[in-house]
Amino acid sequence: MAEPEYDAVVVGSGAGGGVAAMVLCEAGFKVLLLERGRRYDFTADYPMRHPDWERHGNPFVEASHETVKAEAGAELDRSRLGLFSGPGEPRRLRSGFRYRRVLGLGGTTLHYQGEAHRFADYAFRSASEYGFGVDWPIGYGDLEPYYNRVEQLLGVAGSPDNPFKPPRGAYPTPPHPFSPASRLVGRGAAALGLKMQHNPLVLPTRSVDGRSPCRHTGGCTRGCIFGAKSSMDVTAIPRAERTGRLTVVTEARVMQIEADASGSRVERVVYLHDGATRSARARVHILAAGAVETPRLLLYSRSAAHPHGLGNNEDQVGRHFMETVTVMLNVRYDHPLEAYRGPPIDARIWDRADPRSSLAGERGGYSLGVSSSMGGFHGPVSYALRTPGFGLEHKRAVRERFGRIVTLFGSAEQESQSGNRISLSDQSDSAGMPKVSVRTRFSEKDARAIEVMFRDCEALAEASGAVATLNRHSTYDRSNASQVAGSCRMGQSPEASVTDLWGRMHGIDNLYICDASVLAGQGAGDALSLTIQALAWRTAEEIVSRRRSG
Amino acid sequence: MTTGASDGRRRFLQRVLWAGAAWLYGLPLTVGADTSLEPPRAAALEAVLDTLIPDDDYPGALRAGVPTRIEELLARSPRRLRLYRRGLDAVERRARETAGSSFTDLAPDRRGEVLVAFQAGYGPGTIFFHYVRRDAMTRFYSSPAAYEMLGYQPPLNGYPFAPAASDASERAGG
Repeated sequence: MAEPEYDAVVVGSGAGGGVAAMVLCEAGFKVLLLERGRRYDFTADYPMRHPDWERHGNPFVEASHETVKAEAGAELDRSRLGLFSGPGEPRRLRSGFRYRRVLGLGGTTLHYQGEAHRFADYAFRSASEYGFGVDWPIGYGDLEPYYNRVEQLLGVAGSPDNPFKPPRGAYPTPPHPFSPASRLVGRGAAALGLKMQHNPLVLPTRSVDGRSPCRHTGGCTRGCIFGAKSSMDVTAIPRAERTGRLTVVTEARVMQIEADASGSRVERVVYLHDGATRSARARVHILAAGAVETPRLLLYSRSAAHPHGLGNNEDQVGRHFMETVTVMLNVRYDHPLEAYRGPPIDARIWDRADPRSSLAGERGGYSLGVSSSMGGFHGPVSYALRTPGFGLEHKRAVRERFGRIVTLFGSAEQESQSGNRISLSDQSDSAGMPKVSVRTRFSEKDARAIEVMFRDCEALAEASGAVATLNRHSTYDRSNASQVAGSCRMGQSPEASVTDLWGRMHGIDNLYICDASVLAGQGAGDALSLTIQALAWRTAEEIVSRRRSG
Repeated sequence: MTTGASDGRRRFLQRVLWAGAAWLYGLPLTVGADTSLEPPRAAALEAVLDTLIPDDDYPGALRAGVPTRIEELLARSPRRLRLYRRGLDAVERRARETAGSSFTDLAPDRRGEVLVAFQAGYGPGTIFFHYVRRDAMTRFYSSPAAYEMLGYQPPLNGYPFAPAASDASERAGG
């Protein structure tokens, strides 16, 4: 069989890969999109179609055990009890890194909760403005037009009057009304001088492109049964398919990116599909497999010109990996809140996001919020299982608690460190590719952020009249993969970065990265997907304009 | 949810009849594929379920039909069936040791005391306790009876945007 040839091959169909494939197809490129997981059908596959939906497990497949070698985490400082999850004896070692990522057409957007944040302008200059992390090679102004386009594509619902974000016009669809929980916590926040804001969400409040608007099931993490959540499989990928130029191959596991003898051009992508090894050629190759799998694939793609992995002659691939700096407090109120309804994270507080706004001697650079899903309390079964005991007392307690437990959380940026890295381990997965070792250590600034965020969440709980705190959770002792980034960061110099400011790999003409790997920072604790998508759109446009000009 | 109790009685009678016939004809208590509990253990399981989720002003596990749902589970899963058998035997042993009676014959609060002992520790009784608690809670709290008790509607058609639980005109934080 002749090796098929495309204008572009895209590896991975999540936030970055989906947008890149769409932009390239609409510009006339013939694109091959390779996705490791299967295609899901929102009209059939998701549990909330059933009345007893909690008996139908989450349909999404993750493969942490096929990606990350099981290893103990870092030793913890047990003299700082304020950093630990609880109740319970503080751990001695941090829990091993678990990489929860959905395999499926649409990638992580299948189960994300749809927070659509633009990073603030100062987040791109964090080193020069407040001595934290590294400055990006681009600024907010470079991304603003692409943020606009992505928001239009996804029908983002939001309110433009957030004083803690750069000025902007109206969102494509109006904001969701605040949930009862957000209004309650918002009143507590006001008493502390903080202001609850509408969280911009890819859950359109009006129909976009003929799709259903959000129907407030609260089931974003289990797959939206109305196809209302703007995941890639119902937005960018169908648009790309309508051009007639997109070829999608699902259940395709990419194993190698092969460069030519000079090492300056990629020749082909080798993948497993249907029990056979296949390959495809293209003029341009885009990696969009995420901040763990993209460096893994590069490190495994060795050749004479790239003995330490593709594009890794400066030993930068996999470094500066950032995970999630988060605290959560699960609290109970004695008001009926019906917390199972509506968007899972409908409100955030950004008063502390600008590090310059921090109180004397204390670290800012984080946001706070209210979530109805993070704590694992959602439908009746989840409440029953998480309420201890049994018998009459238990049944009464479930009645008292149901719909009244919410999570107060804080989310910060992890300080980028060269020694925090993804590397290949000595253990292989079932396809024979080495699993990764994930080494991350929190800096003193990260630890301090956890302390301060816990303090703020406790203050919010008290000010909003929470009657009980069930437990507290921090990523100091438990790893969390929800906001991973930075492992192939963009920058000016090949000695300190992996790609240039367009996402093109230093020294390799036709290889680009369109995922969270290229992020140089995490935007002061904001969600990453909108920035991944804006960068992917910008990179794809650059690829198109380079082809047109030469 | 008024059929659960008579279902339970019917199943119980069927088991008694089958056990009687098996004894008369010298058959083993289980024939063919081993997919269900023997009558005494099945009765003990019902007593366990009734102890985990009793009736109060609202139906409990038995009236909500949980035993049937668990029988379906055990019929599908030979491993779970073995685990239940060993666990129910451990519960029965403890009931006889500590209360001098079969678990099934104990008053509700005495049954609770027997089960509490299995919440912590090791052994087949504890493993069983955690499984049966999860199996029972999962089935009860996804049943129409529990939904009615909690005023919960599953989101098959979505929910309206307007927050229901309190005044919708109020802005967060004022």
